[in-house]
Amino acid sequence: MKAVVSRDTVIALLLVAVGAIGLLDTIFGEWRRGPGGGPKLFPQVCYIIFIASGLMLMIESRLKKNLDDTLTNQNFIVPATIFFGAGSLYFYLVLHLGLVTTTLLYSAVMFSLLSSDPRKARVYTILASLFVAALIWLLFARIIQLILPNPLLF
Amino acid sequence: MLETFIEAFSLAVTFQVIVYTVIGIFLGLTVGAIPGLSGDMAIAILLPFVFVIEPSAALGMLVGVYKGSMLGGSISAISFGVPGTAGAAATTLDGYQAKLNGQPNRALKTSLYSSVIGDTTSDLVLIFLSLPLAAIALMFGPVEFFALYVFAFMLISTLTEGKLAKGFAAAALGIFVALIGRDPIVGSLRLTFGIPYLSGGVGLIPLLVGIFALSELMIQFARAWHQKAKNKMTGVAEQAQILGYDATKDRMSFQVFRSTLRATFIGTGVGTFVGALPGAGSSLAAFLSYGLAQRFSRYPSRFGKGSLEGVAAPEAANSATAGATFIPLFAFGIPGSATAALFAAALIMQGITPGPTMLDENRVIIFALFITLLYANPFTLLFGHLLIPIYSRLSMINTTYLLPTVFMLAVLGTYAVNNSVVDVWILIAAGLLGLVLRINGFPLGPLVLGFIVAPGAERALRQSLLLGRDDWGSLLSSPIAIGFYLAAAIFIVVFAFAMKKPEGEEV
Repeated sequence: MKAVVSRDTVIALLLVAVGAIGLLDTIFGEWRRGPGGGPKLFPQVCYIIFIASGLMLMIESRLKKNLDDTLTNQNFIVPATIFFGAGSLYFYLVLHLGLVTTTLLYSAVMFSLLSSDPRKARVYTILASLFVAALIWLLFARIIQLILPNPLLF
Repeated sequence: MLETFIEAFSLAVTFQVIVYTVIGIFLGLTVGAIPGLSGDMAIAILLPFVFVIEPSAALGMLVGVYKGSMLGGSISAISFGVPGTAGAAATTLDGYQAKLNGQPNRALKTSLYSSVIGDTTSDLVLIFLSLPLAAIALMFGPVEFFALYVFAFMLISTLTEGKLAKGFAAAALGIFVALIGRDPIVGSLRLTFGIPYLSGGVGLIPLLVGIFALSELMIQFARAWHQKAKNKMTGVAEQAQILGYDATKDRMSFQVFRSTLRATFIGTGVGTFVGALPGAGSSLAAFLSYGLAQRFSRYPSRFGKGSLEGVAAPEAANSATAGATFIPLFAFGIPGSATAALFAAALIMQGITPGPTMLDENRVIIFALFITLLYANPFTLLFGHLLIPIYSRLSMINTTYLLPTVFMLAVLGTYAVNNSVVDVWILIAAGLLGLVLRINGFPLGPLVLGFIVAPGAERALRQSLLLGRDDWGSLLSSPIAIGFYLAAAIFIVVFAFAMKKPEGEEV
């Protein structure tokens, strides 16, 4: 409970800090003038809301006992790194290697990673990868006719 | 008038027009169900067909795609927790949770019926009230529009029970992201942090799909990663097993349908009104109606936990904007949404100039379009019944195979919108942002609404100040605007801090 409370306090301080820095930037920074308050008007509104919500959060975190709305029980660092890293690599390779080839490889790797027993499920993994690659090809290459740069493979 | 109607009827109810309308509905349902793809994109791709096929048939097909995509977005929202379209973002809040609670069929059927009711009602409103409604909508100036946006902002932020501060912060973050790019009035760059790719701003589709879809996929991926148990599915099937899923208890009954009617009518009313306002959009209507439905519900605490009313209201609103969005177009030649603009393009391609005289000068074809709008709804109902069981069964697939597949569909679908690599990187960044926010208990609804509302709100605010010669008091010069501000204040005070009302019996 203490860890959760202090996390909200940190978030609150972060909100206030971002809002304050942003406000100072709109006051002393280089912003073009314009009618109706100019381009900096709405960012100022936004920063003021950041500051206000940060202060509100600080008060809320002091007053409220049960803060069980955070996902504190999962370690997200490793799976997030794999998920987003693999995803970014997937898209990069789609552009350079080819849609179907990359989809096939990505599917096979991810299905194996998530499978409880990759060796036992290898037949299903291969079949599912082929099916997904065919589906993606049909949908994006044939029906939607996605425009992709000239890749190395298919 | 009768002769015109008969002529229009004979034009609209032909085998060719019906077939193309049905094809459009099927395409729209399919496209809408795929995250990242939208009905607007499908309509844009199909525009060249307007030259190739008969005009009424072409318009019928576009109508079918539009209506189908409105419903299709909810299939993905409920089955995968991924909004298939922008308008289905609010449906995700309760729809996906309803599925996890073992009620996928009820949620999908609720979505289908409320969509058709909302859509049909707004079509009738369009037909009978297009001219008078357009006149009312045009009474809204910048002052009134800004007040409406403030009202929507306050309402959606107060939806976050016990998390008012985080709701406001999320909304402010959404506004901040929307401001990245070019100032809408002066055109100067702002908040790009020196990154040239951000000069075009952040796209709605990449943000939505990233915030909702990728963050959810990531959380499920993390669960699957940590468990990696044999034959243990972390999707609906596992939840259903844990909850003792019983198909007989997931059947749609008249009693269940009746329990969602109030929310459906609220959504229909809000969607029709908001849809008639230029630039307001289906997302705003959906979130507004969600908030209002919760406020007037007998079981407000169930919202966000799988309430079928939380599905009915935004879906009815979302679909109700379909007909109403054409009101400004037909009355004044002003497309009130991207979809209306696409239809305007289709009309221009047929030699019809949208404007005040369009209805008088092209009565037959416009009446034929009205008739097509009406009979497309029963076809949507029929196709919904046929395709929902097929599309939703995809959710029973082991998440081992489903998560990466949905991810690929989301990435490629997002790329397909503008063929932009930047959109995909924004998608991934938004996914990371969504994950961080969810881990720290921030609601996502206010963020999305803040993003959607910000451009219109800024334009309205600065125009108001321009008209009022930089006098902030001019924002209170309109009784309609004062009414919206008062309503916003009342919502914050009464519904955020008041005691919870006692709930009724369970259905």
